[in-house]
Amino acid sequence: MIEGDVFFAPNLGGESVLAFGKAQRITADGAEIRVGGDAGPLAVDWDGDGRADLLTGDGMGAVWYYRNTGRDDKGLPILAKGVEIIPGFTREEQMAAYQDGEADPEGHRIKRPGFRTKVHAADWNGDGRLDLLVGDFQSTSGAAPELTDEMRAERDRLTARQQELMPRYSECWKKLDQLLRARLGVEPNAQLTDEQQKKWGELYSEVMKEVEGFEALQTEFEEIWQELAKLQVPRFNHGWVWVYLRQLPETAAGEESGR
Amino acid sequence: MLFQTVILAATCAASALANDSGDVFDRPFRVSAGERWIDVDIGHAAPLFIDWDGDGLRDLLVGQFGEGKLRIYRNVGTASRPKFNEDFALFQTRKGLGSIPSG
Repeated sequence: MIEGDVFFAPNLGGESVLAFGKAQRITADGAEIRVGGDAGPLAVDWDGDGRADLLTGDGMGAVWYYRNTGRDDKGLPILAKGVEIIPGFTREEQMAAYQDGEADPEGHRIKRPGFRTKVHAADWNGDGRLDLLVGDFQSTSGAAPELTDEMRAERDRLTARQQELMPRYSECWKKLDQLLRARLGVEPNAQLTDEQQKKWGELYSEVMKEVEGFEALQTEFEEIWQELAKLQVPRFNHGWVWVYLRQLPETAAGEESGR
Repeated sequence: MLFQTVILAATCAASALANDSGDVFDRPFRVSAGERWIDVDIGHAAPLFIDWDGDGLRDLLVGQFGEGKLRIYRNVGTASRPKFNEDFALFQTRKGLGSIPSG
């Protein structure tokens, strides 16, 4: 689970030597900031009042703006409640975007950033105002493969086999988790530290051998995935860079009155 | 849901997008390099628009998920009309390719 909290780690070094202190959560309007995953924070003076504001991305494709309204008694910024300056997707829209059956491998029908937005603010067109650059993640579908009856039967057989193996497979993962936690001396449901996660990664393939049948299952699963991929609608991952030009105030006002 | 539908319809109808912060944006567009949109490996584009080569024009740096690499697109346009060729460089350090863990 990618949570989407935003942390601040003070630089305790100088400009040439960076040394960061303990990270602490950033609050806005009195509550800790938590967006829909993949926050990717950016400190930038968005409203031009001389104070650094906070922009974040969001797992669901939004861009959030937290205005800096001044300093607290510790000298830290006081941020206003977040405003969704680019709206994110709802869960239904996310599902719809993923299941859209129409083939559009290059994404020509897509008109806005997708998910896990990464934000940058810069004057793109030299008009003196900061514009918004948004990096994203989206996946599109290609044309469904034409299947013969045999291929369809094979697809169904592989899917059924996958479902049949699934309980054993998740059982293996549970055992692996138990063994690894025992090795690292971590309680069953405790959060792993960065150091423990690193060790986890190192020990993973070795400990996997101790779980009976796990390696064979893993191999079979991978084979099924590969074969199934050939019989299903192909998916393509994308990461585009979108530009939102910010209109100058007078242009914006003209737009308002023009409606 | 009705509220969202109304908002969606409103933003689709208008040529510009307004929001609660008072900002008004033009409809977004994708940045191209040469004739094609920049589209990084395994997605998760992370853009930065800064003068990388010191020629006075800002360049476009784009991080990607694929092998944690960073693409550098040099600006061959102007300050008000940035332009990029399809070719990009990958960020290098003295020790070779500069990348971060991914996945």
